[in-house]
Amino acid sequence: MDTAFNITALTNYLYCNFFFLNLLIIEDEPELSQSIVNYLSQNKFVCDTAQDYVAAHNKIFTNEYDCIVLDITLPGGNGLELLRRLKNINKSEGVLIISAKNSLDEKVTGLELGADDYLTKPFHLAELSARVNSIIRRRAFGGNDIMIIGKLVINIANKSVYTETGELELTRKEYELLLYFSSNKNRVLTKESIIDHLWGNHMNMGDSFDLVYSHIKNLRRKLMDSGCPDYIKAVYGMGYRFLIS
Amino acid sequence: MKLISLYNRILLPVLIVVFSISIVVSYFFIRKVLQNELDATLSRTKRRIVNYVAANQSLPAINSFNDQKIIFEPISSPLKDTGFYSATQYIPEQQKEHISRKLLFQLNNNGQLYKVTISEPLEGTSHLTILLAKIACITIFLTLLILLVINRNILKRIWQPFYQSLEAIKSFNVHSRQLPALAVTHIDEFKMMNSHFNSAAENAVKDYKHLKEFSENASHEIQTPLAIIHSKLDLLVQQDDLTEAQSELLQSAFASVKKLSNLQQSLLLLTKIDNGQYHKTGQLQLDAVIKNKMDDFQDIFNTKGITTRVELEETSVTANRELLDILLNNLFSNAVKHNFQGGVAGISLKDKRLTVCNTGNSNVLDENRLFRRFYKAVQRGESNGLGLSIIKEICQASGSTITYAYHDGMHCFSVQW
Repeated sequence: MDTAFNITALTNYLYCNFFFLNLLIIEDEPELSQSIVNYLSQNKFVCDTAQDYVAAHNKIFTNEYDCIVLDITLPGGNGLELLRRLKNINKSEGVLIISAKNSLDEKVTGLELGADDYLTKPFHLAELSARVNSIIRRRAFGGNDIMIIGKLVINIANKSVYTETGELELTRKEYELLLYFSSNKNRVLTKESIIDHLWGNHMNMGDSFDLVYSHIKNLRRKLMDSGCPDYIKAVYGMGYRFLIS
Repeated sequence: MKLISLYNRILLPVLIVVFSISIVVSYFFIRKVLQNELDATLSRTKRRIVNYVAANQSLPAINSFNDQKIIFEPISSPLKDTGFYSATQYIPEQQKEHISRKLLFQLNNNGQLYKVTISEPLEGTSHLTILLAKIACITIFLTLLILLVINRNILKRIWQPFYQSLEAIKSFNVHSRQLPALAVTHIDEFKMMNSHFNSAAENAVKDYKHLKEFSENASHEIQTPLAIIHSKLDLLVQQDDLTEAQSELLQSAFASVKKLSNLQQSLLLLTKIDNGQYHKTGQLQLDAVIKNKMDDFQDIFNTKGITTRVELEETSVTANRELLDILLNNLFSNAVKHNFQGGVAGISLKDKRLTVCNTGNSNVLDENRLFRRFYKAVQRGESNGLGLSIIKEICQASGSTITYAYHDGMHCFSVQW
């Protein structure tokens, strides 16, 4: 617990909870762009949008952002080219590529050019939120990040979770689930989105809902056993919500 | 049947019949001609005798050293039948019966009537006809033999460009986009065939390319509206005041979007495999990759109470990492999807052969239809019927083979590298 509450944790806590984070959403499809803005704006993010290459280029070079969500296929140019230019002038923005092509080659090229992550369309907005959060944390704190959520303290570096009663023993999946909830506080996470996040896109089988249920049940029990309030609420038919005031 | 065999089968009997008829006809024809020749000789002799009798008023002396025999017999009443006829005659020198040609006529010498028979053996003519027939037979036989040899050897050589082109067409594949290398030939028919082959192949390659581009573009175009629907549903879910009925509607909309998205991803994947976009390969430690994949799936196996039996031998294969990952995902999720609660899944890797077996409710599956796109043995909501055809395509693209077997109540899929 001593290591958890240090000055880093405090700045981090303040940064993540009281400062707004600037995002640039570069996506040519206005409807999708709007959905992303709508979802992310409700978490402490301030979103700016660009719908073509030139607009994106101008915004990148005049403003500072914490993270850029970048679509590869853009009117007027290629997103990868934009990324190349961005990295050439040593901008420190985190970049999340969203692409319609589920191509390993493109992913590798993107990551080699300095992107932080790659997400294939269609995606869950919750997943996007989780990826953006993770990029920002990684960028801002170099992975030595400590998150405080309600009565929970999460140390990202060594993947440990603390509560009032000490360290909480979580399985890998439970930890990932908790982290996913933390990036989507107070939002409904659908069961599909949880499955995709924890087991990847290929796990499209009916039985996997039971799987989600059993992991949620275990995590919830562990949290409550260690003195936390009942954060995880089931939303009828849809999924779960991590409620925190 | 080969063209040459068919050709021989028609040509040879026709030739044999034609030759036989010509032998028979020429035999009779030659015999007739020779006989006419003989008859003319007999007529000449007759004329000489008649002239001699008219001049000398006496019968001529008979020269019996010649083959020609002349017999004078005095008769009392005139002869009824005169003219040529054939009859057998005994030749004392040869002590043999021979067919002879005879000319019978009557002669009046000083009021006395004579029956005159001039005869000459046909021996010479029959020898000649037999010889001619023999020569004809030998000629026919030799002609047929030579024809056969020509057909067999020379025609084979002449047809060589045809077979070469066929071979080239056989190995032609629209996937490879490589036009077949057809034989160079100066024979017009083959040239024509090759040019038709070439243009057909070119069209096939072009059409195939267009089709691929179309499917890939269509897939991408579908993806954007799907992403939008997905994002809008994500936002709708966040509404606080959703009723149960609305939740249910939303849930089934989500499920369908998910299914459509999977379907689209699968089709795109198939297109990409077809297009050879996964050509990069590397040496992979298969047992380690499988072990990792097993860890990923452990939760899922556990939830369904499936017991796993794993036997992995150290194996290294050359494969595309991405395709291998998809292959294992599909094989393993099949073993879960089509399994029953508390079933068994067996995974073994031995002699470069990966076998994934599972217990299941259905009986033996139809191997011929199993790997076809959109084939579903059992109609299941969460399956799009593309899993196995993706497995098959991946195997084809990476030079391995997939087989299905059913024994002891287990459905087994084996991939042999």
